[in-house]
Amino acid sequence: MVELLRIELFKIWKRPRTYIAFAAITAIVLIFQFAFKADGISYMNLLLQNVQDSFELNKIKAINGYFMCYIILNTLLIQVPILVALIAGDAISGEANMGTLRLMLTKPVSRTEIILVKFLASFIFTLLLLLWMAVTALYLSLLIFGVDDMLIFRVKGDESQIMQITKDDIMWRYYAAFGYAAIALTVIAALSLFFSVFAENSIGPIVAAVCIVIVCTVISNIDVPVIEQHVKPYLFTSYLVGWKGFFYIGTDPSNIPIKGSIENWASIRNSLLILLAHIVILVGASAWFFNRKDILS
Amino acid sequence: MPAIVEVQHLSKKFGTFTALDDISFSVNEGDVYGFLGQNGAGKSTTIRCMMSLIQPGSGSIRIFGLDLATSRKKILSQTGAIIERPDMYKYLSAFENLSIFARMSGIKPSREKLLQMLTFVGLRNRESDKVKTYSQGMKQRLGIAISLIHDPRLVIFDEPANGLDPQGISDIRHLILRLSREQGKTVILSSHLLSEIEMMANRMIIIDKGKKIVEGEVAKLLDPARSLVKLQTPETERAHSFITGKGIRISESINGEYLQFELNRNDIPALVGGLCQEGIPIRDIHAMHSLEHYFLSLTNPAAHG
Repeated sequence: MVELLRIELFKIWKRPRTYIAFAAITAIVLIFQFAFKADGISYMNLLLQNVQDSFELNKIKAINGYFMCYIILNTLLIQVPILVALIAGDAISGEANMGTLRLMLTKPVSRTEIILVKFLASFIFTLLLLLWMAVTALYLSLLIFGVDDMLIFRVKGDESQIMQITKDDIMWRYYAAFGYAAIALTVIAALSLFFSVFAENSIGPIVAAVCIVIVCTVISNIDVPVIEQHVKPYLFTSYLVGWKGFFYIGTDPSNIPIKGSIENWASIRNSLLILLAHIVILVGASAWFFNRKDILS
Repeated sequence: MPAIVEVQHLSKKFGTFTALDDISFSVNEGDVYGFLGQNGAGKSTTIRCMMSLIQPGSGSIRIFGLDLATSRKKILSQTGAIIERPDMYKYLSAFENLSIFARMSGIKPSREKLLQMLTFVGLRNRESDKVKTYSQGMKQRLGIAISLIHDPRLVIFDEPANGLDPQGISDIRHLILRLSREQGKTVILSSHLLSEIEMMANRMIIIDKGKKIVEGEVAKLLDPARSLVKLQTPETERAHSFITGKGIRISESINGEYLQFELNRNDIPALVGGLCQEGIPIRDIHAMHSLEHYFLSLTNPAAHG
């Protein structure tokens, strides 16, 4: 199994398309950083236009490395599923398309092992992608914009909130958020792998996985009670942005932020469990169908 | 020689289409076993079943005395195969492809062993080139290297000559014969060309439309003495009773004018003499190699019907 995983990672490493994802992330992050370095104040003015009269804020200090990373993650973690689907959606269907699947299956390796190795390779790719995001969006932003307390802008119910997290209470939240994002993106990898089992070219499973993510995300954003109560809890996309929960700091009864706390840990834990259940079901279903599939490619 | 492959009553349907219908055969250790049939006859489906790429609808497959359904890994660790085209990772070199598939076969060959195998198939100086730059013949040879790297007892080549030029076909033929003669491997070889099978195999099976037509030793099945005789006469009824009276089975009677039957080539003059003595006129008599005729009639019914 370890040898098979090594082989799988070697194949991913050697494919030029692997680097498209890393190049895309680098380009987006650099564009963000350039834009905020050049004209971040305008963005802050827009963001704070309703509350400018309420309190004084040093906008220059507010645009720091931590804030930049939060803004970038907010945008990127919606696009990254597509990059993950590019690799995981190709896992089985790409082999079928190349004709290498039948050669693989004439070797003394079980089909379940192949599915598990393909899944693990996609998971490792997802981790590396997130690690690269951490390097570029977090560490590079800290280098360029410096370190300071972070402001979080949040809409909760009918009211807008601004929360301040002190600079010595942020880094662990990012590590936790990246960990959560890894699990959320692994659901996308498992979904793409599942579709990949049925196809003999890569386009179908990639498009199918991305379409499902888009449709479910749109539904997840419909703020109508009937959808909120009866549909949203069953859509995995409702839990994809749960990483933000690590930045919603807990407060005491007099509304004073408690350092090192999270507002709703139970919600994060439940979201994680639901995402993990999705992964287990999707990978299990992939193995079940793959074991029964006639290889005609 | 003991049978190392035993296929019993193998059937497979895709929807309503019957791809294999009650196929049974056995391959002995050391055989070069020919699998002959037209394109779409069911050769590849049978081979895919034997490599567990396809789940059989019914029947059993035993290889090395083990049941494929329960001992797949053990069987495949001693089997090498190229199924249809030899497709590999085009973005990797021949050396990398060979190394990957060797490790998937459960062995960790040294660099020397890999280069030795590439030398055996004639790719020694191109081992670092990406497979996308290879000709069909080179891919076929690399496919053979991949199927042999773990030193299997049984090797299965599905249409190995497909897409090759005459030189490529000759090279592959020599390679397969070397495997059998020098290394004593059991080889199963599928082809739609009778000449290919005739040149390489010692035993063979012919399948058509998913059914077994005949199985046996190539030398006997293609015995030049056995002929298919086509007799044209205006008196078919008398000729029919005369011929059947000699213990010969008429296989076909065509348009009330032709009779078709199998006969040893040496017995034809005596039969013609007997027909003449009985006053049965003969308009035409034509003798053909029976199995060859049969196979040609499958591949070109208009010309050989």
